[in-house]
Amino acid sequence: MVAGDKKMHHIILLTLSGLALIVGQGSLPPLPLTLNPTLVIVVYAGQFYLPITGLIMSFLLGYFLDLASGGLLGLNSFSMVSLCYLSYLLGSRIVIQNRLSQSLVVFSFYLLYGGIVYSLFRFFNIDVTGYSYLKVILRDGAATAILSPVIISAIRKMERFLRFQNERTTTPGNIKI
Amino acid sequence: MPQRFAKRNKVSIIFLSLLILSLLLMSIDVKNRGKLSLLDELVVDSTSVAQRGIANSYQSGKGLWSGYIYLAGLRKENLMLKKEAAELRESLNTFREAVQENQRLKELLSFKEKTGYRVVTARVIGISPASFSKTITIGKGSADGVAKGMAVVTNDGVVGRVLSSSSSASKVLLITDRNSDVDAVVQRSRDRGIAEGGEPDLLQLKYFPRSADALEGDLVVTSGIGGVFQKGLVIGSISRVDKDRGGIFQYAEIRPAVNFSKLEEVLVITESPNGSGG
Repeated sequence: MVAGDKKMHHIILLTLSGLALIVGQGSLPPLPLTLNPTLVIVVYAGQFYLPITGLIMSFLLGYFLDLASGGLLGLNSFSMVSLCYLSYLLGSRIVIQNRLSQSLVVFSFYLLYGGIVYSLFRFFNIDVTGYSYLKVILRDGAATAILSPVIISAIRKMERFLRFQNERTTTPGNIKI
Repeated sequence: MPQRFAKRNKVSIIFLSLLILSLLLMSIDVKNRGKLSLLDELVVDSTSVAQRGIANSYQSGKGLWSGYIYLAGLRKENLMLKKEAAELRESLNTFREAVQENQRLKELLSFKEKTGYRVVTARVIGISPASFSKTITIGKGSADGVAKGMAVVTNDGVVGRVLSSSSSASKVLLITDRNSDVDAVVQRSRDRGIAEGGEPDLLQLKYFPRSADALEGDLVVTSGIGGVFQKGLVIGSISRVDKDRGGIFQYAEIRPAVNFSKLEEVLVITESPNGSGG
């Protein structure tokens, strides 16, 4: 787990990157499927960041996704917070060290995400066609799972860069007078 | 004691608080669908600025790709010629884009002339980044006279209706979204049903009686009932009919007239010829 106080800027940067991805994705021409990089970030945060900051970040990203999608406000914030908490609870029981395991974990979480959204739709009496909904979940879940190693690798690169910057500025020999 | 409990269960308490907050947000949103709070409006407005910027950069990049990089092999011939050719190509590309835009706008305007509706032309600046909602963001808002519930169309047919508006941008719920339902009528037989979204890029004609007369290829238009869509706007054409499916009703699928993957400009109907709002 990442040490909290020192790595606060990691999570801020991760949140900002998530927000930029949501805005950027919404500005691209329509694709036949919808990727969900936010879900990958949230699962990753649940695994490797302090739970409270991870949960707040998940809420913010979900809320922003709701605003950008024009869907039910709170739907994605609820789902993302739940997924982040679940990822935190599972902790070391799930392994996301190699590409295949990353994709499998993200796909499983996407199915859970679909289940949460479906339950919320039913709870708020929003009509959902089961078959077409399942089709969307499987299609978008598979696409997000395939893309997830790229996102996780980008997050790790960003973390390494920040760590390197941090070490460089705190090493006594590098202090500029 | 309570302090110790709170300290020990800090994560769970925050988790539950965020869940409750999300549920509250959903309840409020279900009740006041389309009304944006001041904070939401601020976020939507600032997002639309970024989206407009990205959309413009994308268009420029597309132009640069087709007009310059793609034909980079010509560079080797002559430096001067290359520069000149690139400039010409860029101008030609800009010209072509302008011609195409002009054509699209002309088509949109012909809709206005045909119908006599008062309309606002708007550019599509964003699409929904979430799987479960089919919405687009347009670059016109309440400052341009766009308001919640107004019908959004192109020359081809119905696009959707305005879901919410900030001062400079609006969210449009597409007719293919599962939350969208449009009172529709088969143009040839005048049989009525409700065109509902849900299937990817298809609509389903619900509550369509088994006795109703519908054939593949029949045009489906808005009935004018419901107060959002004016009468006679094209929704699409029937692509499949199945009388054995759907119980007391028959199953009919509609292929939308509008190609949603190629939407660039749309018209928001702000006023009908008889003076009623969109």
